Amino acid sequence: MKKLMMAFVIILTALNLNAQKADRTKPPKLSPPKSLQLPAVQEFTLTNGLKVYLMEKHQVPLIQLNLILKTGSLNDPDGKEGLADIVFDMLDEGADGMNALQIADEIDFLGANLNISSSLFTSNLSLNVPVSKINDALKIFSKILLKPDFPEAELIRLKKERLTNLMQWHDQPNEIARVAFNKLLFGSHPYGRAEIGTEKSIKKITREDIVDYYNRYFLPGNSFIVAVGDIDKSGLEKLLSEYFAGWSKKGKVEYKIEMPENVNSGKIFLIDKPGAAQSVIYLGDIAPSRTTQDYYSINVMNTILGGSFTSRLNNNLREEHGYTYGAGSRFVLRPVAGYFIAYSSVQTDVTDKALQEFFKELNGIRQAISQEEIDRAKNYTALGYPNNFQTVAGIAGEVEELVYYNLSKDYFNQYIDKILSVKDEEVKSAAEKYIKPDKMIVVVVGDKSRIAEGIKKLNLGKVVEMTVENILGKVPEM
Amino acid sequence: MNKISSQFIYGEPMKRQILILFLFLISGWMSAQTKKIEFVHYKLDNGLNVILHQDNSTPIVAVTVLYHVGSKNEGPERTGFAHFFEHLMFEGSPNIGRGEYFKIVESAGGQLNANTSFDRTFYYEILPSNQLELGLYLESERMLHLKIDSIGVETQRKVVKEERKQSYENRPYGSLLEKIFSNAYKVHPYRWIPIGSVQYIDQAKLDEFIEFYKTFYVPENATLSIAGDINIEETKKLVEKYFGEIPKGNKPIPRPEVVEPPQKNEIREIVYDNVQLPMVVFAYHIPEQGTPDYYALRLLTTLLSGGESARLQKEIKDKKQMALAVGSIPLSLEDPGLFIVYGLTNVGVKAEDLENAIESEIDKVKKELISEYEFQKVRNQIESDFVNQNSRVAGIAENLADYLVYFGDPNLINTEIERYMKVTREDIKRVANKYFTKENRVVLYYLPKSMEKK
Repeated sequence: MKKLMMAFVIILTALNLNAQKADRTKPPKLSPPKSLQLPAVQEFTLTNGLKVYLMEKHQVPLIQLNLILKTGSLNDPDGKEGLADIVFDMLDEGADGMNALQIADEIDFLGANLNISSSLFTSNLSLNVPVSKINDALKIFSKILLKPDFPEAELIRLKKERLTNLMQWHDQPNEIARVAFNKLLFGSHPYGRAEIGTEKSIKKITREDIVDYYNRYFLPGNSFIVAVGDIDKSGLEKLLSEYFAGWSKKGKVEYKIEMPENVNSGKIFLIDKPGAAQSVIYLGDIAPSRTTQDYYSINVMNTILGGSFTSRLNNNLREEHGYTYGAGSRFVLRPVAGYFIAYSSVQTDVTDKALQEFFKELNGIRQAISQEEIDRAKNYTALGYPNNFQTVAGIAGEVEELVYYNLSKDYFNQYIDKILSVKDEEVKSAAEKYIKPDKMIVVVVGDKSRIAEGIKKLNLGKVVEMTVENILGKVPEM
Repeated sequence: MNKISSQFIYGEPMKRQILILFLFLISGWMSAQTKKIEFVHYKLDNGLNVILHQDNSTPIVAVTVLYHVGSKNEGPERTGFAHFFEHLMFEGSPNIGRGEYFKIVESAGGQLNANTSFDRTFYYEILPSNQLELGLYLESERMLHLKIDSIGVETQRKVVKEERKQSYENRPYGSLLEKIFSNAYKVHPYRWIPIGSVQYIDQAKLDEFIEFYKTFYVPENATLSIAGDINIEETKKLVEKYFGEIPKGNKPIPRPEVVEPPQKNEIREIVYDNVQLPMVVFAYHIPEQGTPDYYALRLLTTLLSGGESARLQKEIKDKKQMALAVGSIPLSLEDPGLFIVYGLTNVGVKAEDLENAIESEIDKVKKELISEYEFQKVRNQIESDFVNQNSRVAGIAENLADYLVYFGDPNLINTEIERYMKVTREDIKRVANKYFTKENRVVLYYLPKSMEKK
């Protein structure tokens, strides 16, 4: 085992370099950071109108190819919530006469990974494959996209799987809090739904619904491809033309979505989970859309509030008080509005105190922010940015965002400067504008008998007591 | 390689979790198909191992330090000590005040974290590459003269208790790992897991922390592994500048010598938990990582559960529809470890029936040689994993350090694939027969509390 290494490995047992002595009293002064140099995003359009975006990266013999459809659970018809989630899950359950196992077997044999997922606005078929196998992989990939069979038997299985998931959520405090937060913040707005639907809606979904959704939203004009990896433009164009040019359906889908409103502003929801080991706390409010002018200042402000380890929330709740393993906050920004959330899981006995500290910090960020905090947050956000560009999958995700939100072509190269040039006043005004503690909803999932009294005494707002069933419904019957 | 560990900072919530069973960190190895990972390995006079890998494609650098100490170096009255100590390593030094460590790294645009497994503790900073020297300064400060005070100890005691609740107790099936290891090991220190038991941390005294630091956190027990946008010669100078003056510990470093005797009879336990669905878990004793049989077992696990077309998924989840999830995973450990197979029942399926179904798949591997086609598929999957691993500099630094510490040869990052490719179809059948026996296993049932007989 301890065999010596190959020729290129040098072993020096005694190193004799004229080393200087380190000044340990302060961190070393360093040269300015190198800039991030990324290859350009190349664009082309297939004859059917399908747009393709490529960033070449030749370090590893891999290709990441994501096909993004601009549709998701937002387009679920009323009463059929969970439809999009099932449609996308069904794609690789049978296609062009191949059954689910044959498809899985072929993909595994290629050493490829195919992930299919859907969210509110978009859905994604993402393929990661050794470059030598791209042709074979695209053959299957295109069948799954263009000729899905939607076999009835698999639909029954997937519906049952979802009902089982709903059932399991009853014992998962984080899931309860997540579903409750969306539902209570957004009410009947589509953002308030659980993506996989409800017992009632899942049971109603039929094969016809799936086919109908597929026919309506799977359109080349409603989609685009992002490829990153060890391939050039002409090679990719040839391959994609072969497999996708025949996809000739016409049309484009425009979604219409109303601005959500915080329907429970200022209320505290206490969801009883008897015997819970901790209390899960989520606080939040509606936030602006991804295209807001304040995007960069929000980013810096949230880094200070709860977006990093040294942030005020984590520092207070974890490092000063030891109430938790961690606390934080983030903005989830969407094409139309988004939300702000602050979160932690805390020791049951200090749930009320922890809530108090949350509000102290949420109010505090509106009062004063030090220069040191602003500088640190800007550096942290800006200088850590190149990390996102290490892997083909990571880069593809960044390019997707660029394309979907139609960001400027030099967005990646400008990002660091944009963050570093955010003004102090802009950070402060982002806090005043977007952090409104008295408007937020609070969701606490924990052992009511041990925490209710303390929470009520805080007089934060109206306390609404709920059960897990109020949020998730009864455990599904199957 | 699959590792179990507890870490310093936790991840984000609000992601849809279908099923999180274990806290596994996956890291890996490198393929023959791809570019060789070149590196330099040498030792400083004080015994510190240094590994450097240059990759200038992204302007970032990972500075990592692996200390060869984990939960298996703990005494039974101090379980969780190594992981707790990991938390103390962020408290500062005579030159870095409490809480400053993170501020310095974040101000530089860097990220940092650490984790503790059964066998080792691992620290890293991922920094813009101009900040390489900062990473060296920070890691050398805490190797040279960590400051431990009672404020830090008291706070981290509370934090770690909440970590334990969040990661294990407030989560269905959260006690699974603890149950597996406490049943499977009777004398070896793998019988407790890295998070340990809460009461021992409360009992530990300040001088115990200092003693632990002086014993294990010494250059001759550490590996400094750096990967990313660096210049090798300049980096060597900087490493000498910051680490050269750290004195050797010169104390014997205790390693557990106890060998777990072979298990003679099947061990079974039923755990009643706040869960909706029964779960069945098998844990078979297997040899330590790096042995030929271990590689055969890695191919075997890919055959059983590597992807949707694998045998357990295909037969039990898809065809028989008896399970919502099935899987298998050999835990790679420095001392002999465990091969875990688990299944979460579908609604209405009895744990006994799922156990039988999994058992019959295991029997099939024991009786029948796998087909050439399936064998080729498994090899392809393993090769492809190679290419996909090591795509991040932090992963490369960690793997190089692991290969050095566990096998004495960092170049396995390039050549370990050959060990996998030596495995034959017959080997797979042989190891299944050798290790997948009743007397060599623990069987756990997780059942809903409502099923408990009053």
